[in-house]
Amino acid sequence: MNIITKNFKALKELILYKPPEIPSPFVLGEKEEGRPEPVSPLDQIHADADMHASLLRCAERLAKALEKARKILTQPLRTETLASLAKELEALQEQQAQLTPLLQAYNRKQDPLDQTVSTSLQENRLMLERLYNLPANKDLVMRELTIPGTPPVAAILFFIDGLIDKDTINLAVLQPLMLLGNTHRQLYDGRPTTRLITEYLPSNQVRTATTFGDVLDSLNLGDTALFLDGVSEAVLLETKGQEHRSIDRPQMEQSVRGSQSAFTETLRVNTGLVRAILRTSDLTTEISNIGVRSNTLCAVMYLHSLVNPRLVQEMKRRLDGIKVDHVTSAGALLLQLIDHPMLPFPQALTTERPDRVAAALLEGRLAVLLDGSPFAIVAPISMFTLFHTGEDFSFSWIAASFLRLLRFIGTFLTLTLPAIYIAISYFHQEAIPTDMILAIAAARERVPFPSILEILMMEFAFELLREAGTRIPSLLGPSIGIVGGIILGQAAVSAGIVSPITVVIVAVTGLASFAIPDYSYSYAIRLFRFVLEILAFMLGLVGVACGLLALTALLCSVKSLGVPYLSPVAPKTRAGYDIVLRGPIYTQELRPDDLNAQDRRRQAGVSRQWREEPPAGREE
Amino acid sequence: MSYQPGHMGLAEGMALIFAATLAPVFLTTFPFSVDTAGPLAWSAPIISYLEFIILLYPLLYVMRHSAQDLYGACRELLGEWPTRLIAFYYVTLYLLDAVLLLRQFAENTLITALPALEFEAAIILYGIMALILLYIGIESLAQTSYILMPLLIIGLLLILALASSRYNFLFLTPWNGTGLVTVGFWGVRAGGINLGALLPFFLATSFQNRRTLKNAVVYGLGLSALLRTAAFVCYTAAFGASISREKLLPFYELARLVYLSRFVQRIEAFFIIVWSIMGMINIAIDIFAALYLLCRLFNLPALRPLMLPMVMIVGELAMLPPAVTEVVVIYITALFSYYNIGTLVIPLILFCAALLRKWREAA
Repeated sequence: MNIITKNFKALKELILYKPPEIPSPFVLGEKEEGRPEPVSPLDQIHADADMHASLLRCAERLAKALEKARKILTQPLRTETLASLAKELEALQEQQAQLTPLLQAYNRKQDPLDQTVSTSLQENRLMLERLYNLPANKDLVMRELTIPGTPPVAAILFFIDGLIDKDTINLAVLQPLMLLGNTHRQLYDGRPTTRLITEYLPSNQVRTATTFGDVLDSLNLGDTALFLDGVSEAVLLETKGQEHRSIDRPQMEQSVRGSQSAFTETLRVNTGLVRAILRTSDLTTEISNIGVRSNTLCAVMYLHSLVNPRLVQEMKRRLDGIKVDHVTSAGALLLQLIDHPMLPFPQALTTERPDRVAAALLEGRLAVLLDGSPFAIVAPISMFTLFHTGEDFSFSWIAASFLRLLRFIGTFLTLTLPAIYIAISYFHQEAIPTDMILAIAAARERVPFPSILEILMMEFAFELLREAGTRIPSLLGPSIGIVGGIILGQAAVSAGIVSPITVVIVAVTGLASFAIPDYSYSYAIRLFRFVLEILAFMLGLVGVACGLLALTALLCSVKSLGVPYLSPVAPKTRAGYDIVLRGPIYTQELRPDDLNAQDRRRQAGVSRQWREEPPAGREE
Repeated sequence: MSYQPGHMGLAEGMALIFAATLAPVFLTTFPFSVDTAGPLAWSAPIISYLEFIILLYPLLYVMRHSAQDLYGACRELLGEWPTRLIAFYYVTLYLLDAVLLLRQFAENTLITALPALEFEAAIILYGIMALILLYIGIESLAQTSYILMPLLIIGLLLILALASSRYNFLFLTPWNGTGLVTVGFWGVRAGGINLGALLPFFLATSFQNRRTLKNAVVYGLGLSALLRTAAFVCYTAAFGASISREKLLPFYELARLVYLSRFVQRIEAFFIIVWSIMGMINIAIDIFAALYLLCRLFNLPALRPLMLPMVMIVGELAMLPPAVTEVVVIYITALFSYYNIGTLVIPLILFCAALLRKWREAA
């Protein structure tokens, strides 16, 4: 029977198939354009409930205060207890004034961040809980305490876990408030927050705040907010202690003889690194917030007596005018700041080296640093700045000039070599010496593809290797480069896919591209190289001429924070010996003319004045 | 006026004039000159340069009568309608120059570099490049010319130096020539080549002062005249007067002569870059000059919307002549006649008007 039943059930399940009951998959609903979001009646009910709850809490507190007053008045009267009772009743009166229905209705319409701190500790706590989405949000920590005194003062500390230094809170906030005071101190005698700040709290930076906006700004930076019962102010204590990476060696801008420190992700560490090089009161650091939701700190640094004030104004105007949720990095910020975001050419210098930032500031440029980004933006710049490196001034001017020439030649080769090869091999074969053209023809005999395809394939493979090299773990990176570069190239030639001349051209082009010091500039040149190759394929050297002319014209029209990109060449301005070639360091007397700095001269006419003085021991 | 160009200095002025007057080096103008003026035809650029320098001072005197540009000075001296007529004449001249240069450079591209290319495609290519250059504005165009100027000069001089083994300087002697009077008169007539040197006077408000204008003309035109002279001297020295008059493209033919060794030979292809860039810049400058004057003429608020239609018109006009020989004949006829009205006659009329006004004011 049992077997029959089982078989019957199995047969039934087989014939009468029913899909398993699984919940429907999640689909994110579309928001219909133009149709307003329906207002839930619950929202209004919740708001009214909040208002009534506040009134009830006030009433409860009033009842407790009256009970306390009754007890005090039934006992022998003492001046201290009467004074504390009076303070408590005053606070209650103030709180009651804040809770009038009219004021509450007004507050509800207001942005919560603009609301003032309440005298009620409970109201303040509820407000912060609402703003930080507690209890779901576990970042905000609340610590209730009672400060000993006459009368004892109830207080709450708020701070964000992960942004603060726990030792600082324990030793510089909780310990003085809870342990080190005596019970006879009268905090309510006078302005309680002022007394706390001046007499009891040893933190190095303490200030008060009256609105929740200010409180939130400080909490998000790692400060601690202290609310006192009966006081309509919050005390903000500096307790920042976020973990951060220590100062490391530069990764992208390594140097042989230059400084070996690089920026980190922490803004204040970075500004400190620059200030460590320029120890002058003239160095100004203006800090503002960027990102409507992220409130990321952004610093603009400049030398006050040197920089053109209009540059500072313009930079601040642009920074203030960025309305985005969040700026992820210095690169993203740069794209919001520049005049021509459609062009791939970098219109500001992005550097990880504090010494380069300091050198730029000394020329009359601006630096922008973003919290969370280990790169500084330096603007305005000219294209020639992108060929300079931090250690150019550490070498003899002859060596430095040679290196710079090498970089320029490298850039030219990167840009034009494959295009010229394509143009000549397709349209102007007569320009190649006969022996060479025979050698090239012999090498290309086995290759089934046209030259343009060969070049594009190899360059694509090279770019692929480069991209892979930057993405894979650092230990494997060089191996991949060697495997890709040598073995793949050799294999491609052996297989007859590409000719040896193509490998040579692509290898030289790739190698030359590494001579360009600026990563973004290198990218732009490499991108434009493909345009030139296509033009060369279509129109030969005429196409190359068209491409180069268009590129020059385009660069002539670009400006970096109002300064022409190709200055001091076009427009021609007075130039020092620091553009293409670098003159001796003692001849670098003037700052760049195109920046219109307040002080043009950067060193004395005769900087090596010791040469005009008698040598040591021959002062007579 | 949204089309008012930005601030330009001596470098930009020099480069504009240089780029707008060097084109004859790459065209058939010189063989035609040799045909008329004999072995001394190479002196024509110097004579025409001296002629323009003499004319420069009257022009600067005319410019004193207006705080604006040559157009403003003309209106001040001659009144509204004569000024409009004169401006229209200059518009025609610059447009004619653009059309003829476009056709010649397109044809030269086909002959020397891209024989398989369609003729219309060459015209479109030059048109697109002119449009790009126009779009970035005259200030950037002048700066582009200034950046490329040294490279172009080096390229030109390199060709002249590399072909030096083929020179026979006896070809330059005027023993079998047409006589100094003919040469001198021809040099004066060749002043039409300097039409491009008037452009800074039309854009005078963009330059710092009259001294900048003067120096731009002296140095820019001087450099151009010097290079043209050097090129024509070398060309005559290489081929001799009798063969020189038969060549179509003197610079290209000179480049073809270069043979230093098995590895340095037939390098004329590399110098296509030089003359094609010069051609594109010159065409763009001509179209800009015509558009600018057109905007002044009709008080138009903007120049940019006219760029594309104007380039298309210039391209269409350039395609009209059935053969390039006709274009060369028209170009040379215009260069040695109608261009002179713009370069010599009108500035002299303005100078006379200025003198007359001064005389009247004094009386």
